[in-house]
Amino acid sequence: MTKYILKRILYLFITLFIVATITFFLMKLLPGTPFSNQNRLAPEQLALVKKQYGLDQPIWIQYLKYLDSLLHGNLGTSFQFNNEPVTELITSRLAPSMQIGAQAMILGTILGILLGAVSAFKKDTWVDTTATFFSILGLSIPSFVLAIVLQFYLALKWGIFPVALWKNFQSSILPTLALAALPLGNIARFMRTEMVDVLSSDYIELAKAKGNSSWQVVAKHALRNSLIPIITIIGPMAVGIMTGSMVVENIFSIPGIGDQFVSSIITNDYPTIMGLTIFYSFLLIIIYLVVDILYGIVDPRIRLGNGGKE
Amino acid sequence: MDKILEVNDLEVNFNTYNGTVHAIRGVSFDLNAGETLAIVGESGSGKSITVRSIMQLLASNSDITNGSIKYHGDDLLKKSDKEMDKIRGNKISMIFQDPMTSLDPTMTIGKQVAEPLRIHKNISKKAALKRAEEVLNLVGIPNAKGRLNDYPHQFSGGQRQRIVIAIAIVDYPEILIADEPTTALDVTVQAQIIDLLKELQEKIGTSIIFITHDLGVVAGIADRVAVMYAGRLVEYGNVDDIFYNPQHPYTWGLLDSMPTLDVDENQHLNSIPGTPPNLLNPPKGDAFAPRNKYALEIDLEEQPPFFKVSKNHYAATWLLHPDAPKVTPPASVQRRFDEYKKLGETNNG
Repeated sequence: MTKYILKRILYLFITLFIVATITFFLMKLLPGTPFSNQNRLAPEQLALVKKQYGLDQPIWIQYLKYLDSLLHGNLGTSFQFNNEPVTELITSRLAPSMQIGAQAMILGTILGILLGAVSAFKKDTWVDTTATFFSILGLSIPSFVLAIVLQFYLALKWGIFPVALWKNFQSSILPTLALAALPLGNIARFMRTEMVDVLSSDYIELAKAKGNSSWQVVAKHALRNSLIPIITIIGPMAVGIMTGSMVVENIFSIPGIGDQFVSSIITNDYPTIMGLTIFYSFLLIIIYLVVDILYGIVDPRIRLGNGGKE
Repeated sequence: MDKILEVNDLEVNFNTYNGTVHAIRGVSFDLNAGETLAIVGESGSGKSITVRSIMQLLASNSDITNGSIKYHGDDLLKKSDKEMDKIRGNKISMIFQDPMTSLDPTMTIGKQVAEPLRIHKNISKKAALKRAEEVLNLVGIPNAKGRLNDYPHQFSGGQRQRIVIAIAIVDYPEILIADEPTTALDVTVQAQIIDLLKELQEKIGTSIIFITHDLGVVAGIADRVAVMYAGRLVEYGNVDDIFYNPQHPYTWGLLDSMPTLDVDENQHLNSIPGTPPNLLNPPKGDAFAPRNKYALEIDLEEQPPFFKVSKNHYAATWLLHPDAPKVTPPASVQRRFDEYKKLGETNNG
């Protein structure tokens, strides 16, 4: 297992290197320069600024220099945002995005699994129909629509939660709810299908024949076996939620990272684009690594390194 | 002998989109302490449904419309789910057909074998695992101690069936129901599993209800045999009665279609012509009559009652009525009686 994880970490660095390279050259293909809007600069001043940032050198030298600083853990300084170091920029803006992303994933996953399990357990009853209705609702309403509806009723009309801005835990609740609907609906649908399947399998019948009560059968045998395919969809979904929360962040005026990504691309802020891309790739790879490890924990048949023979 | 289980006039229906399937149409039998009762019949005759009724493990669209299943005089059909949970896996346990799918793929076999003890006995995890190890040794899993933490996929089909048997006997049940436990296994492993069941029966003194469609297996394990057809018993008796003195034409057909070692290679294996009746609309008379060349007119009109052949041996065919014409089993079946006798002697010796 340790060997496997070490191997995966080595792959992580190779992937990051490739991502950095491709992004670097793609970025240089963007029209304009970071200073194309600075009309008031005289040509001499512009040349001076370019020289200061090393933008006057050939692209491949810029590339090698960037790689060199990357190896030293330095992501450079932003051209915008008051010349702040990119590392600081990301970390200061990261917290809100990660917090609502993670909260939404955890809430959506847990509720989704519960809703799906109850739905399967009470298959073809009104409980099932109600649960199915809500999960399809969660699946089909876009998060920004839900965000506005939540904002209008829970914040503006009834004043239970703050309307917007990022102050305390209360301000994270509405964006979390808005983002959680999609994973909740998705996971509930998958969970129901899978659990219905599992509940009709032979080992569930054997579990009943052992004298387990219905809920013991679900808790001890059905749940774990139904989770295996759920883990597959949780990975990509988590990435989607963490990176795609931009619109919701905007609606609630949360100083998140998504907003910053867009503005850095518009202004050709090279170091910030690079830094954020590399960071997102890193996040993605880590999430997939965690998913693969989770797989092994839940399903012994694909556990690594025990020579599992079929 | 002590009767520990009495099934009386059991009727089970299934509600389907096409209508009501009358799967079990009045089945009665009993089980004595320490004996092995084999229930034989073709697919769809209702063998599995009968034993699943005993365990109360029927599908949700089923409906037990009549009858009683008395375990030590207590009607299991009147018990609540909670009361049944205390009996399942404890007093009555079951071995399933397909060992490849009967075990939970995500749980270690030690835990799975120990599970009935953890449910029914107030016993520590450690003690339960210790007991699981003993039982796994008993059913012949090599190095059981070292394999408690292994998962089902790490065992072969035959070993998995041994594990399923270990789960069934870990709590020393009074009744062990084996639902075609050897069907999914190859012939040599089949023989090992049958021997194992016989050996375990001697050791723990459990009664066995053995379901199969393979008469060869029956000869090796059963004390008594019940032959089932289209949701009813057609004949039951001691194993010798069924093999050497069968009375129902369906039993003759079953015996006749069993391959033997000295069949001429040019000879066709006999089969019973036709197909079983559709139990959406069960026939009025003897369900086997349309496939039966010895059928009398009354067979199509009226259900035959059980006629007593000898002590413990009964058959439901109008051919046993005093007024019926005398019919003897076909020559090909009679020829087999001697072969079975030889076979039986080798099996028991």
